[in-house]
Amino acid sequence: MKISNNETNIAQVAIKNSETDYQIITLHEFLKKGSAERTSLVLGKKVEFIDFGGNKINLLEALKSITDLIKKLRAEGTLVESLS
Amino acid sequence: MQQLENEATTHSLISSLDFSLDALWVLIAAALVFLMQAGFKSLEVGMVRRHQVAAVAMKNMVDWTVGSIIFFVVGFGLMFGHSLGGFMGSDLFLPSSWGAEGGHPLGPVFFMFQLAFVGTAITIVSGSMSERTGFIPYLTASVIIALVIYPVFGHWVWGNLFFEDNSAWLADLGFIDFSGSTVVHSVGAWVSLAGLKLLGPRLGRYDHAGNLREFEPNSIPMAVMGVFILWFGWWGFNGGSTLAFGIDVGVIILNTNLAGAAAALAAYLHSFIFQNKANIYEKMLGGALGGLVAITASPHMQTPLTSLLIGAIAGVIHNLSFDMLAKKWKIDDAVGAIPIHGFCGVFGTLAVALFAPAETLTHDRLTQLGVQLVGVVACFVWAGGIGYVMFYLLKRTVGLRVSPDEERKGIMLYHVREEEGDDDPSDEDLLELMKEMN
Repeated sequence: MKISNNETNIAQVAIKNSETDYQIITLHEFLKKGSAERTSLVLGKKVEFIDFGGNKINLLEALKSITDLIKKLRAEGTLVESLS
Repeated sequence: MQQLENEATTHSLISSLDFSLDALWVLIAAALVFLMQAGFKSLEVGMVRRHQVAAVAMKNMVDWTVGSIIFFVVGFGLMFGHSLGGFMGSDLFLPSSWGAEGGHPLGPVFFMFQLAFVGTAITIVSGSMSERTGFIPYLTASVIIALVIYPVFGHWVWGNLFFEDNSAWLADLGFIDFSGSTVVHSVGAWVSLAGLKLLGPRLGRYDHAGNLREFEPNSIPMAVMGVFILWFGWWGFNGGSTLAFGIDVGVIILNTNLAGAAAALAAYLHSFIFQNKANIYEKMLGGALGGLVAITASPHMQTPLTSLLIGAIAGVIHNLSFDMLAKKWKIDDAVGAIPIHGFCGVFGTLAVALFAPAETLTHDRLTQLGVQLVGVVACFVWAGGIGYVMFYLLKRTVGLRVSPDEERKGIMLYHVREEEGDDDPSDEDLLELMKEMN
C-alpha cells in the first residue's frame, strides 16, 4: 500500500545530489529512506518539498505535515504497511 | 566519324548536366532539411512555457553543432563505410576525400544531406525532454546519438546507399524506409521515451488524482510557424531522398503534402468530435507532423489517394497516442514528440506494406508487413535500449535533472542559477521534527 496523494500537499521531493544532479522522488520513496539518511538530507538542506502546482513548500510546514501523517498512520496501525 | 564524335560529346554533356542537376537538387534538399532545424526551434519555443524558451532555443543550436562534428568524424563512417557483416561501417571516418572507389558520386553533397537527417534525430530528443534536463547530460546524449545510436541503426537500413554493394541487414531483408520514418524519426522518439521514463514529468504536471494539468504553451503562432517551416523542409527531406532529380520528385512532394494536410484535418476533427477539443491546437499541429512522418517511409511508392489515407490515419493515431502517453502512462513529453515521431513513424513504416501497390513491394504483402515489423521492433530495441542505458548512466553520474528552482524560472546554460534562500528554519527545529517523524 502506498501513501495516498490526498494525505498531504506534497507531490514530489527533490533531492540535491550535486550542483548538477537533482533527483525527483515521491513522498513515499522519501519516507522509505532510512531515518538517518532523511535527517542528514534535511539538515544538509539537500531536500525540497514540492506541491502539486510545482511550487516549493515551506520546509517546516512540509515536515510538520509529514510528521502529522506519520502520527496518523501510527495511530491507525498502518504505518509499516504504508511504507512497505 | 564527325557525327559520332558529336554524338559522344552531346552524350557526355547531357550526363554532366544530369549529374550537376542531381547534385544541385540534393544540395537544395539538404538546405531544406537544414531549415527544419529552424522549424523545430520555432515549434519547440512555441510549445514550451515562456520562462524556458531561451534554453530550448539554445539546445537546438547545440544539436546542429554537435551533430555536424561528431557525424563527420565518426558517425558517417559507421553508417556508410564498408560494412562489417551488415551491422556497421568500418571506414570513411574523418573523410579527407570523397573519391572512394565505388562510393556515391555526390560525395560531400551526399554527406550534407545525411548530416541534416542526423540533426533531425537529435533535435527530437531535445524537444521532448525540454524544461527540466540539464545541459551536460543533454550535450552528452547528443554526442552519443550522433556517434552511435543513429549511425548504427542507419547502417542497417541505408548502409548500401554510399557503397551500393554494401550489406545492410535490414535492407537485405527487404525493409523499406525511403526517407526515415523509422531510421530518423522513430530513432529520435525511442531515445526520447527512454530519457523521459528516467527523467520523470515536469514539476506540477499532475494533480492529486494524477490528472494531467495543462501548461500553457508560450506561443501557438510561433509553433504554427515552426510547423510551416518543417512542412516546407519536408519537401527536401522526402524529395531529396531520391538522390537524383527527376519527375518522381514532384510526385513525392505532392504525396508528402497530401499526407500532412490529411493528418492535420483528421487530428483536428478527431479532437473536436471525440476528445472534447482537449489540446486541439497542439493536436492539429502535431497531427500534421505525424502525417508527414508517416508518409516519409514511402512517398515514392504511394498514390495521392493512399497518401491521403495514410495521413488521415496518422492524424488519429497521433491524437490517441498523445492522450495515452500523457494521461495513462504519465510520460511528460514537453512538445509531443513521441506521438509524432514514434507512433506515426511506426504506422508509416507498416503502411508501406499495407497501402503501397503490390508490384512496388520487395515481397508479397504479408511477408513485407513482417519485414517492416522486424525493422520497427529492431529500432525500438536498439534506440530505446541504448538510449535507456545512456540516460541511466548519465543519471547515476552527472545527473539528468536541473534544480527545481531552474525548472520554475528557466534553465541557465552558462552557470548554475543561485537558489533562493529558504525559510531557513533553525537546525534545532528541524531536528525536533525529524525525531518526531522517526
